[in-house]
Amino acid sequence: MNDSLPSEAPTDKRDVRIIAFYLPQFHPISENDLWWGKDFTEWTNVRKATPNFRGHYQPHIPGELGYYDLRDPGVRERQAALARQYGIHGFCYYYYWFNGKRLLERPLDDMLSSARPEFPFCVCWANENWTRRWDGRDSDILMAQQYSIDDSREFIRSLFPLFRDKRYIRVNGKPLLLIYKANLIPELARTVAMWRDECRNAGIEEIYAVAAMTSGPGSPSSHGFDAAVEFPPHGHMAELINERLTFTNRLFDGMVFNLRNYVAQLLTMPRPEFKLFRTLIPSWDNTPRQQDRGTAFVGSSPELFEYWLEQALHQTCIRHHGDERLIFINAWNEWGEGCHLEPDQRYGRGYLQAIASALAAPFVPPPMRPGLDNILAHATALKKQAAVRQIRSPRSEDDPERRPPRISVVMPAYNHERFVRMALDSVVAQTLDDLEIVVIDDGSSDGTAAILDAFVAQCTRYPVTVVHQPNEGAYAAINHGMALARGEIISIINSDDMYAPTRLAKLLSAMDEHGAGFAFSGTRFIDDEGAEFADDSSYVGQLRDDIARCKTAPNPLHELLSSNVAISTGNFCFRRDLLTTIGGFGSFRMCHDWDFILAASYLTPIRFVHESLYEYRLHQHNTFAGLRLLGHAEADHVLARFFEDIERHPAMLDPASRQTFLNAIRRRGFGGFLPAALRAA
Amino acid sequence: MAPRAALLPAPDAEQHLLAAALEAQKAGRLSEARELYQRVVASQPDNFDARHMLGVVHYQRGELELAREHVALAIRMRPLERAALKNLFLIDKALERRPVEEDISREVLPRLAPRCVAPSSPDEHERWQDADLDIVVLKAGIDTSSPELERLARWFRPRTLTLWLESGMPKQAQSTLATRIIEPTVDALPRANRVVFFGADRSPGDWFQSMNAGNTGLYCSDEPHSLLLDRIPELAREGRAPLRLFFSSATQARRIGLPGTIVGDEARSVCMPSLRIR
Repeated sequence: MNDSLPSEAPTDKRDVRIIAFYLPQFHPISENDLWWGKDFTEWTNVRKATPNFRGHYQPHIPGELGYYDLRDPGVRERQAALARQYGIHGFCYYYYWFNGKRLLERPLDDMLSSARPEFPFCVCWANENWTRRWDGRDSDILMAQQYSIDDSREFIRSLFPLFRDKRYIRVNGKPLLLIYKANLIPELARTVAMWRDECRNAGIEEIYAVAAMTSGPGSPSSHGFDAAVEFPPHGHMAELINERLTFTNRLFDGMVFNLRNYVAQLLTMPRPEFKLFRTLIPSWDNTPRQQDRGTAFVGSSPELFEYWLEQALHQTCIRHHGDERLIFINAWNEWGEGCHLEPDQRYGRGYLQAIASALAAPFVPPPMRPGLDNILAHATALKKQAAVRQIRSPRSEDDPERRPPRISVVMPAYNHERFVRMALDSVVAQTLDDLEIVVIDDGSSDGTAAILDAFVAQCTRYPVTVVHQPNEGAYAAINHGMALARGEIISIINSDDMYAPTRLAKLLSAMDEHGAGFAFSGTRFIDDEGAEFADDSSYVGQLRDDIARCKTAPNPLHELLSSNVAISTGNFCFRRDLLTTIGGFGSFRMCHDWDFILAASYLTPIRFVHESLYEYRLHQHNTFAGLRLLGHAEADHVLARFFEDIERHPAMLDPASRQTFLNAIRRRGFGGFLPAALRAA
Repeated sequence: MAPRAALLPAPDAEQHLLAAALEAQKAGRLSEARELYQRVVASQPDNFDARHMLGVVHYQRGELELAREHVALAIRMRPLERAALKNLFLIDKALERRPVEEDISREVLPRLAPRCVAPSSPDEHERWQDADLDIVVLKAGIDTSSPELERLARWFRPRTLTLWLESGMPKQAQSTLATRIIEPTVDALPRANRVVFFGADRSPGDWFQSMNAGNTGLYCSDEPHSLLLDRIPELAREGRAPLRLFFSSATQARRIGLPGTIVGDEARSVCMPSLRIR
């Protein structure tokens, strides 16, 4: 239950709460006067910033809020109004506590005592040393942290008035508390447990503790935290681009990184084995504080930020539920580190507008697999459409009521006039007799349709059914073909691929021998001419490596966790009755096959025949350009679905295979998909 | 990636060079470090430490292919050296991110449409008619006799054209265009009201802010999406001076997915690629 104030943001239909970190260092304090000079505030650094290289965006000059003073309640009201207007749920104030001494406390205290602005908030204990270098390290310390369990107790007690405020942000009723550098706190687990006890004893719901990922990877749960939060740019591995810049400051000895490269890193990061909230930066550049030794990320823009946030929102909706749908932004006003949502003269409200736009973008839920009933109903409906034409070979017409064949070979065909006859001939050349061929011509615009019609007329060995239909996409065409299939076994083939002559005989033999309902074989990669695909690019090389690993794996399922090592639906051969439970193929762009085979693994053992009995054609123009991130997103969905009910998976039910399976899951980096009870501590 | 090496004894001169290189590398003087490592590698191709650390320096400079080549060669010398294996892993990860980054750029680029003017607007078309024009070359490694540059100039004729280069750029004697060098310190800057930037490889930086061109364009040929993503907002002055895009071909226009004008030898053509509706 979230009892903080309701956000007035009208666009957030998905209950994701966006929280922006809030720096209070915009008013003079005596300590800063002493350390940095009279009337020092963060603006002092911001004002003196200068560009260091061509195109370097510095200084950042504030927009409509000006060089404000946070002692002014009107400023705080305007900040909250702006944030609320664009869909930000609340602020996370940095809380400075040094052994009972607080710094920069006035904005927070004023906000608390005045009950204004009426805007949700939480705090993050900025528990590092204050140093002259602004980096919290041990040199030139201005104000040091000295930890003790008693001091930590006083710290949590100091937060009670905040926790009791109705505006305080809660997760499942618990006040949200962030710790900036948890690893610095000795006896961390004991301290967190003590904080929970203290809160309970004070009549406050125990805290929801979140550790910032500022000190490398590590599971926060082992220290008693509920979750972790990314804290970019900590942990970045972005590309350094100093060499590509023209420096105008000869003394500059800092580093400039490519922000897009960093976004790519974050968006493709595997799901960790603990609850992790995503954090975004609009931009980042600490040269105002560090000048010649600063670090900057270039390539930021409101458009990039909007795209990144859309992806993060999507991930958060998929990965978290209820109150735990949180996203953080670093920061609302870290002007000295060049990361601020607050308007500046260059972008105006651009970054705020990006938030509103990302929140307003439609959320497309992951595709579901259609049920068998739906597939059959859709096939019946299609049959009635004028644009759909079904023709059957004379062999099929002979005896429509005859015994169903053992195997139905289903081919979705689309614009493969050059290869489709070869594909069909490779089916006709099978050593098995008892099969039928069902081809769905998915709206081909080349000569494919005519070739198929000719094939129907010519094929005497097997019954053939060809349906010409308007284009619906590969997965829909396969579903249609499966609906028409009458065989006990369904074997798919792509219209540009080929079967080896003994393929079906060997797969069926393997299935029968091992009581398996699903089988696939090794794959040979061929080019347009049918020769072994020569280009050993990293993509093809990886596919070959995956298949090679599958040959030595104790269970093909272990390799199927990483990717569809069957390569394509065309390599699938399975019992038709699996469709009753699995349904058809979902409308994924790339991963419909992987989703299907993983679902099948719940119902039947999967056999892998090592011999390369499937010839998969790779075309030179085949490319995944533009689809890599989509692939990551789809993989996330597919794995989330597979792991949803993992305790019921046959590999988990058998004590002998359970641990091996769990190890395989973790070794491949998918521990984050396991239910909480199964995750590594 | 932190420099990782266990430097082994080498002949004195190389040992000295390696120590100096490592010191330069740790201090972030990467060009100097690279040069020193290269000197050692030149005299001792089988020196594991020099080869390995040369790869690391290339990585730090964002030269990933070179980085991979050198670290892989080092691993051939010592297949079990964990630091090198770890570094190869990091390089491979970074290489994997590059195409993803380009995918991101491809997704984001169409969102820049509001910063670009629609050439189909009659007013906009009018504004580029019959006026003097400056062309500023921002493309690295191109000379003034480039056929593409000539074609762009031909497309704009009969207007009076001046070609502006930054100092240090090559100029071919046979160029037919009046050519000048940009020298902001003596106020030698493009001053025409219409300026087309040729290529997007480098930022014009400060001198662009001083130009104050009323109508600005960008000619795109084969730039990666990421580069355009950097340059379009900059040249559009963050939306305050909408930018007109010129494309080398219809294919290029489709690839980029932003409104603009196709510059061809045949008829003057204008395109308005369909924009992504979000």
